[in-house]
Amino acid sequence: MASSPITFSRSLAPRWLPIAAGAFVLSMFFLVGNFYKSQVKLRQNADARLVSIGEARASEISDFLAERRQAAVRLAASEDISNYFSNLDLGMSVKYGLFANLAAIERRFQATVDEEKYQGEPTYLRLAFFDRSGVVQVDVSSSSAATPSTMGPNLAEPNIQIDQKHRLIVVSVPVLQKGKIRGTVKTVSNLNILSRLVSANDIGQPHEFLLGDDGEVLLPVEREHSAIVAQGSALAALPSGRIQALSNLNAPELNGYLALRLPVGGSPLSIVRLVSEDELYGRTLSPASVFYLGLFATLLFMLAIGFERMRQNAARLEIKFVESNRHRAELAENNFALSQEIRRREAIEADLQRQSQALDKSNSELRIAAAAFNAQEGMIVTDTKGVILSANRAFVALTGYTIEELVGQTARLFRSHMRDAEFYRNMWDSIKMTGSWQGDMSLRTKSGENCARWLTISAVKNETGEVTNYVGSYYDISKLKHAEEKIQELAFFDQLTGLPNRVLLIDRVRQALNANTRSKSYGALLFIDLDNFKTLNDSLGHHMGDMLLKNAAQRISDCVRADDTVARFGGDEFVVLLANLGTQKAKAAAVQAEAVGEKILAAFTEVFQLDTYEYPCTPSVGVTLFSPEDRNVDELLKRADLAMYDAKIAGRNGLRFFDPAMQTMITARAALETDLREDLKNERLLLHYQPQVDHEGKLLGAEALARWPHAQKGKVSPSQFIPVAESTGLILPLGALMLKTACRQLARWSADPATERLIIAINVSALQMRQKNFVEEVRSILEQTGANPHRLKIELTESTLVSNVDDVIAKMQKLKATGIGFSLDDFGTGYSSLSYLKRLPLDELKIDRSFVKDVLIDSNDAAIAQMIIALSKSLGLSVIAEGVETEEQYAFLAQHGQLNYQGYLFGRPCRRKISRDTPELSRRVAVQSGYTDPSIGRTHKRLQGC
Amino acid sequence: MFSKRFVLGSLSGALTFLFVTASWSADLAEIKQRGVIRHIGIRYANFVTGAGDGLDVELMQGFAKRIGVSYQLVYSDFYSVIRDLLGKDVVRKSGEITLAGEYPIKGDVISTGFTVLPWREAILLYSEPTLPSQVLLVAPADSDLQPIKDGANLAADIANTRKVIGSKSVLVMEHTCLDPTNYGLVNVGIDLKAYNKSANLNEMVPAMLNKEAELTLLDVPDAILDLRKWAGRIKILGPISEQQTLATAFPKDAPALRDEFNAYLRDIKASGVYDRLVDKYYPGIRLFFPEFFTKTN
Repeated sequence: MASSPITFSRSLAPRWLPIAAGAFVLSMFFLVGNFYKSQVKLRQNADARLVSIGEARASEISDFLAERRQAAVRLAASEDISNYFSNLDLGMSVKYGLFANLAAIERRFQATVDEEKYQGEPTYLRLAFFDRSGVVQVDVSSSSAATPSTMGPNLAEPNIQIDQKHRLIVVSVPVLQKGKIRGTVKTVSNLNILSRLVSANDIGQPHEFLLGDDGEVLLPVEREHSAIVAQGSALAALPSGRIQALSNLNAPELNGYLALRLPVGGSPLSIVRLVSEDELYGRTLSPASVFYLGLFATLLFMLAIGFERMRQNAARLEIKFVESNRHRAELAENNFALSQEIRRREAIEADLQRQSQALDKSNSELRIAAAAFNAQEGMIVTDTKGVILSANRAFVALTGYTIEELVGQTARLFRSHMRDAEFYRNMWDSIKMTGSWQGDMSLRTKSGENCARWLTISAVKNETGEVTNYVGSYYDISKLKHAEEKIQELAFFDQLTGLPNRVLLIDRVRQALNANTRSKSYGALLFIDLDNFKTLNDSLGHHMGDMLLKNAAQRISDCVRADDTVARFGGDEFVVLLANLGTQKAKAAAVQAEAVGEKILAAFTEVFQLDTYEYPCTPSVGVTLFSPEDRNVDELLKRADLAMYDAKIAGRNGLRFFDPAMQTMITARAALETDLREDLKNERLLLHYQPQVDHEGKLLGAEALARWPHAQKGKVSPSQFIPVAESTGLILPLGALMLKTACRQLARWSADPATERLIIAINVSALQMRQKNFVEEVRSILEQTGANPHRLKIELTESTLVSNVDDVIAKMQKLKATGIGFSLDDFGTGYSSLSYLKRLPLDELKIDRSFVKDVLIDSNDAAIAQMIIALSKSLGLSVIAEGVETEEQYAFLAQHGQLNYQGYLFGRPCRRKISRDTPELSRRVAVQSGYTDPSIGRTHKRLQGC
Repeated sequence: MFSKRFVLGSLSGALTFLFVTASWSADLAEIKQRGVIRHIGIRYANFVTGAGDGLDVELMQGFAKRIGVSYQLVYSDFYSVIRDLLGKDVVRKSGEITLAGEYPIKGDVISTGFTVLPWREAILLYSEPTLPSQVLLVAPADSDLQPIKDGANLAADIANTRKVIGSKSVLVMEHTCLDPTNYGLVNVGIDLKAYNKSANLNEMVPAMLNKEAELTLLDVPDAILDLRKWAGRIKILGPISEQQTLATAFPKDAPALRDEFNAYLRDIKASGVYDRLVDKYYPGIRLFFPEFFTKTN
């Protein structure tokens, strides 16, 4: 048995050569087979890479076009275009209304043209808005653009056109308003902007071309590849997504090239990638060549063996055998190396596949992140120190800063000053503790405007949980803020009457108190309650009650100034706030407040028309003043309320002050007015006469002064009853009575040679001078009484000349023409304007008693008196000093000119009734007594008073 | 009550005027000496927004900088604005303008989109125009009145607009550019409703929408803002007035201040600063008044 293998080996030994050759052939087949498979795999990988990069190119261009379409849709749906059509539908003309909307659209388009960039280049050359008739309404272009702007047909859907002739991308979208097409928005971009998406034709890389639908090569712009340009239509006709050899084209220079065409979604464009086989697969043999080469080697080897068998003898068979074994070992070694190489390439291929998948995923995530980042809300990304790394377009548009201005800055750049440092410290503490923060934030734009935004800050962490960035999102809450303000407005106004309610009133009273503390002025509160309001509600129902309240509110509001506040305090109660009465005197304030109260009472004298009912209603008014020292609002309201109840108790339809002293003053004033009216009617007022003398003491005449002997109160001072007469209009009948009385006196004097040349000076108030028929009235009195107008002198005060001085001058000139003289009373105490002084037909200036009084002790008064004398001299007027009571005063004045005088030194006003006392007066003023002025050393005649 | 020192000063001044024939123009000099210019403004449209900015606020801030003084904004209203400048109340009666009373003077200049009106010119000095304006008639969008068709000229447009009013009530604001006496709307049978809840022109359109009147007057600067703010809720029927002029106002005795301001205005119009301010606060107004801005440029 042991000898059998040896025997078998020996039997095979002579056949070792065929056996070795057979084994060799089998090995070669195995080797070539494996090599062929690896070559096929490598080619498939190269093809896949060519296709996937081409698809990415087509996808990027398609995304760009989709973005342009969406942007055009957003412009067409913008609020400005919507407003334009709303106003157009309302019938407004371009001239008187639509111009504002067109300007807003133009501004929006211009901002889009200026701000939209794609990889640093302006995205748009032109934006245009056409109406339905194709008439361009707004057309905005970049400064360098010169593009056609024809409208084209109205489109129902967005449309993208490639204008190959002008190398433009034109996007047209319809403007829809309430479901109807109203116009078109058209955007125009430069086709060359896509050149950044078509790769440069680098050596060793596939050539890329962008073709139009007719095969024209649009990109690259350079025409280096004339064969491609010539064969463009053939390339455009290639089946999409398949690599095709170009050997059958009639272009020898394209032989050996492979082409891949990929259509760009949503457009008539295609991407064509062109590559030579060598560039794509490298300089390796084809699988078939490898196979044939292997077969050929095998045949050669077999022939060699045959030849060797025939040529060599048996002795050399041993050597051949050894040689054959050596070759077999080498072959095995090569086989092993080849197997190693195949495994290595398989590993590389698997790695490439993994990387490709990871790249696809990463690209997808980046597209999603980019879309989120370019949302409508403003977003910024910062590093851990708050330094801005990036900001989206919405945020750039919101703040007005460019992206370059924002990057590298912190949020302090656009912080408003409405929050203090403590607020921001707390915010960052919260972010560091919880990783996020959100809240209401006011953002200041580059132009300085403040925008209300809801800010959300989120921390971004890496795989290890470490914070790497912060993302801030600014949501628009301006509409919400507006709604809050509206709610607040509702909270402060009464819904029935539209007046401020109790809350707002109290706030305004508080503001008034603070303001009056600064200005030291008085204000007043009027508490108004409608009398018997409950009876109306009970008898005619709440509807009528509400109607009355609305009407009453309107009437009260009509009685006050715009600065004052009328509030509905509750039920049938109203409160009027007279915030600033413009005076620091309580009495003057009380008079003003009373005037408003009386006006309100008067407003209620007319009946209210409530549907078909005529309803009489009266109010009761309580008044309290508040001084700069008052601080308590509740106390003031309580005081006004108490005063109102006082008015109710007093019989309703009345007005009461909280302060008894004020009430007394107002009541006394009203009583004085009533008595004055009555006594005027009965002509119980009298004239007293105070003598006026010349510089030698010679009697010139007298000033007539009104006196009121009251039946109960005795003498009432002119300083008391003249202001009342002026404020109530009684000054007109009073003035007429005094003028008539003085003229009668003049007529009587003219009958006596001793008094016939005497002059009576009478005061005429501003109100009298403003009467339209004042001149006629004076003439009529002169005619009735027979007085000589040349003996009458009218004294005017400076207040007469404050308003409408031209009218006063005209009246003076008419009276002057009849012979009446004019004296300016109180000169120097008021307006003292030279401009009117020169224009007035005056005869005399009067130095006021206030200057004469202290002329010896006050250097200012002395200077004023001297200036008035100098002024009179230069104007050619006589001058009279009133209130001369001492000889020293007289002596001082006499030193400075030839003056006339009036005062106790020369005679007091006559105390008796004019009608009865006039003859005696004339007789008494004629009586003179002398005195010696030691300073001058001459004798004057002094007049005795009446 | 006037102090004796004041009286003495007044009389001395009068005598000086009489004998020396001196002038009163110490206005600009006084402001420079004081070191501050007080700008009287009314919260109105985008002229004085109330938030510390506005077309007139920026104009006056630039002017203050030019004359080397600090700037102070004093708020007022349309009823008190002249009183705050002159220290006297304006009394308008039977077509006559008079000044009465004594009040504190609060500012040196009125700049607040202030319309140039004849009665104001009688008591104030105006600068060269700062902006044009016009008064329009506005109705709620649901009104049965229709905007006028563009006529042959402005006079025809105004006549057609007045015809549209008919028996409708019109909201107006006295003592402002919306005062009906300025446009002959008084005593011609038009139902006028005076808005007196406040002196703020910005409230005219809300008040009309709140049914306080069926129509309202509105000036162009306000109309530009309100057409966006109340888009779809109001419509412009047509013009009520001729083109008006807005300008800055000075007291009569401040001619030097007015002349300096005019020089300033011409400079910023030439440099483009003025155009930028107009575009910032009234975008679109150039479209409405092309002739004015052509002249300006």
